[in-house]
Amino acid sequence: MIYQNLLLTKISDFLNYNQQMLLTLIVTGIACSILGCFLVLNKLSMLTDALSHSILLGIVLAYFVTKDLNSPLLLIGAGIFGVFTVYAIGLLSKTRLVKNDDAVGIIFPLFFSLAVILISTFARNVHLDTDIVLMGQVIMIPLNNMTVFGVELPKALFYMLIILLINLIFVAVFFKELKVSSFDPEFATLAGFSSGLLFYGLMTLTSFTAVAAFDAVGAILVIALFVGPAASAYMLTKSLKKMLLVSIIFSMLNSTLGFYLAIVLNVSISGMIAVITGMTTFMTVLLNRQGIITAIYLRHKNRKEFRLDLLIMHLGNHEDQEDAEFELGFATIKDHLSWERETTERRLNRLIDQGFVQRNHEKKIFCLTEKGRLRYDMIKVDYGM
Amino acid sequence: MSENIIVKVEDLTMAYHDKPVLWDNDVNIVENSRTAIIGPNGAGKSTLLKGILGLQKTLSGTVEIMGKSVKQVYKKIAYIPQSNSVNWDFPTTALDVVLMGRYVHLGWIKRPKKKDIEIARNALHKMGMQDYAKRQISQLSGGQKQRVFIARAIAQNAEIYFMDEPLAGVDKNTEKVIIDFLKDSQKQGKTSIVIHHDLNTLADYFDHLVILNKRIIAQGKMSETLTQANLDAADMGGGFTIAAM
Repeated sequence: MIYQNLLLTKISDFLNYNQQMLLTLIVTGIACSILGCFLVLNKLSMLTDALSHSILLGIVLAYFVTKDLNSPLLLIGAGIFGVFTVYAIGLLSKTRLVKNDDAVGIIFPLFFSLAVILISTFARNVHLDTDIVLMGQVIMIPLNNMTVFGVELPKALFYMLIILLINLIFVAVFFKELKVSSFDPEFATLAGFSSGLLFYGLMTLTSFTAVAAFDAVGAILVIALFVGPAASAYMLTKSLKKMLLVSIIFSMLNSTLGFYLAIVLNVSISGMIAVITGMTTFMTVLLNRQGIITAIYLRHKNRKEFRLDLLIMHLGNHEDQEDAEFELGFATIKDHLSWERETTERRLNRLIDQGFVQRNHEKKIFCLTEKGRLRYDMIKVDYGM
Repeated sequence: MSENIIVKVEDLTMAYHDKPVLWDNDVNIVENSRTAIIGPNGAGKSTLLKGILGLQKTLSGTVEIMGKSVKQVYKKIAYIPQSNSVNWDFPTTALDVVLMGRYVHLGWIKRPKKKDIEIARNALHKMGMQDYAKRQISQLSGGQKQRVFIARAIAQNAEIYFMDEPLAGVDKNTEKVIIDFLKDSQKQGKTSIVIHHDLNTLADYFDHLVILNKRIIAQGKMSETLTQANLDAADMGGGFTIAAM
């Protein structure tokens, strides 16, 4: 017994079934969301919908060849088929007879329903039903184990770890290229970075990720994992690296919250994670920097800042003029801006604290500091003066 | 005085949905010129630029830049697209966009180095945008966005600038900064080819002119090309007279 344990490390010795499932979900989520960021930025999120459904046809076709549901060839066949789907959609929209969105809506239901027909006609006894296709079988994850390098772990976990690693390497190595071609494809092409090459690279990985994730979490959650965290992160961040990071955090949060809620409520795990993903995305819609609630807060803050800017403008405008001594005394500032004595005092003090304004005690006036003058020039540019 | 032709376009025909937009055009851009391209709406000005740069398919014709193909000299060409052609909500900063100008020289995989960032900062400075380096691009005004695009071209250190309506929707200040930049570049031996829409400023800002309306109506030195007859021939004469300048 001891001898055997030395040779074989079982992941079940460290993690119980729930933890194994959750770990697999988190790894899957991260693998999806880092690609998802680039899909969202390239307005390709609907392609994940097409991919996650049409790969079923790939799986079925590959099954007819291999006759084995557990063959890794199934994954490879389905992955290649996913890339073919993207290519087919591209070809159809290139005819300019249908728009890209319409092409997506034509191709994937065709492939998906073909797969359903094939399964129900020729593979009735195969364990593949529509529930599993849509919602996956998270609960089965810990029951399907394999042994790699002396470690026994769930098969889904192993595949997703490999996919995650490949995705991470792809994004890290081609970060610059992905960024420029997502932001300005024409510039990228002219700068020698073929956007077609990057596009199909991205779509190939998306396809393989979708195939691997599909088995564990189903077609619906795959879409949510690709799009939700990335869309939330897009609304919140101002740099691409932060967007990737925030999308990973969202993804982990969604999976963990959804998983435990599903356990407590005894409902579908994939379903619950998709619901939570929808909810956190909706929350970011309300709370992001252009969101509704933020807008109310910012309006308040802007009003405050605008008044401080106004004060700086007043000081800046009169500083070099002959009437400076008259215009920049406390009483005149107060009168000209028609503010209350207390508010004027408070705002002047605020600007003195921030280092924009200083008191000239001799002349009893207020004037801009070096920093204040820079700010004055910036305000003029900002307001187009 | 002999003039070198830096961009030579022969027999260029381009179509959109099988409907020809440009018919059999020969265009010659003089080296070290500030050349404006004008034409009525739908004349194919942007299409011409994209055709020259190989960004859009051509049905016929050849393009030579500095005697070579675009693919051979792409590092020396900077393209400044219409500013609404990109997603300004993209999560990136002004400095980062300018830094993309350096990517051309880095090639695949290599990361920008300190020196590249230095060059990008200087380019922002030249456009008076140094205080906005860390701003998210969505927070820039129309004029500032255009300045960022031009700073990207400066960072690229190109020889030829292709600009698609750089003055559209920018403030007076930015307009001056951009025109000063064009004049300055000319002194450094560079060439700029700019789609322009304001006939009032045309002769002040540029020294060469291409008039386009699906076909080349006229091209050459500003003084010889900007005539009432040519504008009328391009359907641009209405409401505008040369005498008014």
